[in-house]
Amino acid sequence: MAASEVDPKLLDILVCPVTKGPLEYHAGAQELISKKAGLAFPVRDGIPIMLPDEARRLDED
Amino acid sequence: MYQNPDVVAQRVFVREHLALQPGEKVIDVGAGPGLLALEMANEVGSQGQVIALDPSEDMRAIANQRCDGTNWITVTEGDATALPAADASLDAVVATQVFEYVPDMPLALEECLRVLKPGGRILALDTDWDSAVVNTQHRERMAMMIEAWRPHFYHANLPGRLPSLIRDAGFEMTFMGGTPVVNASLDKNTYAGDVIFTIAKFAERKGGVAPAVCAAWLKELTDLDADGQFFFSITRFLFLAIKPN
Repeated sequence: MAASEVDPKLLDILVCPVTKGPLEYHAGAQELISKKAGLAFPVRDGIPIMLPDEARRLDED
Repeated sequence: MYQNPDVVAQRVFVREHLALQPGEKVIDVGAGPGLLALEMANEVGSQGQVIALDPSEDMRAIANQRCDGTNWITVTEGDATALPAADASLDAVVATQVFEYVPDMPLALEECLRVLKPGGRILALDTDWDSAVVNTQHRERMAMMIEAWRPHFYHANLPGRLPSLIRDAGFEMTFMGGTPVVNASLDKNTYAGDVIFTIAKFAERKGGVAPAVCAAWLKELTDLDADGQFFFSITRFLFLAIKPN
């Protein structure tokens, strides 16, 4: 897809590969957040990297 | 090799059987350089969605560049046994020459079933190297070279097992067929002109075949080619199945 944007329509389909739950797109950080899994999947050059091993673990508040 | 006429024809064969409709949503598992993904995107149009998943960073970069400007394609990294798609969200799953590299096929097919809508279809295309037909005076050496090539794949003979694997996963098979690659030349523009040299390198480096044997094998084939007697064929098998309503 175009450079570094995530198509909002994509978020109807794309889910967390661990929980199969929804993702939130954080455009500033270029991350797709799975709250349930506590993981932030990186979007590199517009390519979502949907692997748990590549994801950033969200700090627990 | 993805642009040579044999591989272009193979994509046409795949798209004819998949018969995508405008607005459909499809995932290409193992999309490689994104040629099929882009062709499918043109078929589903801007109301559709194509997710092109590939494990190779290099392939993803090529695919992403190719699909730049077609914003209903998303190139992504993911695992064939943990697809990043919602339950019952897709009309089609395509995997061309991918399942032969996936160790846990029952799990991969379970994922395909999960992401498909009822009535959605799966299309798998895979090669069986037992279907190779090559003109040679040295059949034993040929068999040894193909045997040495086998470890390149996780499943070198998947097509024979795919019908039962697909049915056991809960799909209804709707079509089975094959498309042969037939080359009478080792020209760079043919599939054989690429794969024969790849096999020779693989057999020597990873297949445990003596360099002299690999060289003699290549010499026979290139000599036959020079005499206009080269012949190579291999069959890709296509399976189309639906998720029952």
